[in-house]
Amino acid sequence: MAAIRTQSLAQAKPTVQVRAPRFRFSWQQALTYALLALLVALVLVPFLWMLVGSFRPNYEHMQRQGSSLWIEHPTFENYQRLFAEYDFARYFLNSTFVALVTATFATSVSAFAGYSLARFRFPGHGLVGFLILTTQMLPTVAIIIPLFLWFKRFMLIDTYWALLIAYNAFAIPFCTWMLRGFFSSIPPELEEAAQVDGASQLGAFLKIVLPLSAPGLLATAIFSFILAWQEFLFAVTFTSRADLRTLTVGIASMRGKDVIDWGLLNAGVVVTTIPLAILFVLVQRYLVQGLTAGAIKG
Amino acid sequence: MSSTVSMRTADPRPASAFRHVRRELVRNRLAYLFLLPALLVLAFVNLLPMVQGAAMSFQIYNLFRPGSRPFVGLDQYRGLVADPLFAKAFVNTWYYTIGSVVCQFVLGLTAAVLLNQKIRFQGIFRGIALIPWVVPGALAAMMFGLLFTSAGLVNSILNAIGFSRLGLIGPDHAWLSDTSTAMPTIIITNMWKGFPFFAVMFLAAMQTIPSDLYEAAKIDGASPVRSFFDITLPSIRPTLLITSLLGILWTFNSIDLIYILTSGGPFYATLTLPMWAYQQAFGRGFVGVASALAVIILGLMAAVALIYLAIYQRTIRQD
Repeated sequence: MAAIRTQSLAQAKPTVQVRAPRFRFSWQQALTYALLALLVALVLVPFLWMLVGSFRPNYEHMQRQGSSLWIEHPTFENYQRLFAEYDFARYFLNSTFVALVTATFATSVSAFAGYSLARFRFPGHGLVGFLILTTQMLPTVAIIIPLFLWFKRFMLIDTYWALLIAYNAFAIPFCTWMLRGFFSSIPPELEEAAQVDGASQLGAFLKIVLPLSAPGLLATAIFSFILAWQEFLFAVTFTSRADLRTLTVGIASMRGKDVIDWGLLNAGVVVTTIPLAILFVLVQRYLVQGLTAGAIKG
Repeated sequence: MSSTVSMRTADPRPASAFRHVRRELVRNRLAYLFLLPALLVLAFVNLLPMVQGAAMSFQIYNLFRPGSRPFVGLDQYRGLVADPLFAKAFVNTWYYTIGSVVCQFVLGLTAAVLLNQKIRFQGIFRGIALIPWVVPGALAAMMFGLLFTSAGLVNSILNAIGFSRLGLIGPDHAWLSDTSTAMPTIIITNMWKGFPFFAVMFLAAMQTIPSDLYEAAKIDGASPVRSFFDITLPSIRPTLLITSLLGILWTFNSIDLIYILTSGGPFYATLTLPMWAYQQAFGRGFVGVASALAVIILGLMAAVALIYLAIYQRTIRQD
């Protein structure tokens, strides 16, 4: 009733600013919150189910077949088995190492390339931009076969090099595009002023532009870190040794041949998710900024 | 000093085009120098493999039997197109791609609209909605594989609400082992994994719409639904287009969900072209055939991208 009255007031006198009272009930708000609750459930229920299942002993999994959210005899045995049978710490270190190197290298290379595309007009400018965009649609499967043959010839199969080379090649085009967007948004007058004061163009880039685009560089680094951290197909194709497994390959290697080891799988998913969740909470803001700024300006 | 002189005297002789190129190179040396590392990576790890792959598609090349690699022209392409599995995988690829992208688009747009409202705990809601984006595809696949087994949570929820009494599916339906439900299950997994990207892009675009547009519409008596269709959607149309193009290209290409959930089975019900190419190369060692498939995939993707970019250009021009 109150809502209707405010509305008609607003229609009668449009010049008066009417702010909807904050805690007043409205159907639109109720619907919004109901749908948001559904969305949150859709995202979180799979995790919750895994979390509960990871504390359930396997005999209970067999009886209830993993389909309820109740545990009669909670246990840590799944986690003990997980770390006894699988070298999860090693998988974690492998993933982190590969992702960190990719993030550092890809961001550095892309910073120079992105700056060049953002600031200089040179013959071939359009062609380079076009090439970078086209690599985005090269089918993974078209790249992975020749790369595998090369890596085999140069004895790089079952080394970190194979993963690092492949991940950088996939991260650099997108990162260059993202950073190009960032650098374009920085007014060129700043560098011009520095050059008037005697700095070289390289110096202006290193001392003025790079510090100013720290948020963009961070976003790009996070983006390439996640790209490498998530990757599965290259990792499973280029490595077969257990001590080189990344987390994604490690978790996929837990698929049983005939019987599903529920407890183990649930614990594996939880252990893989937790570091990811912590990382995500820390970087979420930069990630969203970076992803949208680069893409929308591009 | 003497070298400058000799250079200057030597200069008039070479063709002026060459001199022009050299002058441009020197003038833009910093631009090219900055680009060099990225271009080297691009050339050696993206373009060269692509060219080599195209070359291998004309050869019989067996991974497990190295040695002679006879040139057979287009034979492998003809063999592929004649294979009944090709038509099957072609249809499956579009089923998977369109199904996934439509679901991601709809859910992503809904999420973006919800998260764009003036709500409390907005940051927390946005954070939660984004989680699946950073979850590795392999992990999501493992999780949904368990959710959709015959003893999984999905069946117990469906049984609890009495859905199984409709008789469409059994009470302990194994979603991934049934030819008619395997692909929908993979699409649902992909929807969960992929909708946050769409939501983030749409949300960012929505936030650039000036709020006085909505206020004016409200004063004119437009309902929220009306202003969504008449203001929001037209304003973010370029983002809608580009995001779904990226979604189509990525989904078309992606193998990891299918690799982990079904590996193309049961009875080829989830076999897509990239999955098939991967199996040909690394399962059976038929590198030549797989390369021919990869070239076909590239052609299809280029066609999609061209159509989309044409639409995009027209949209931009209309604004």
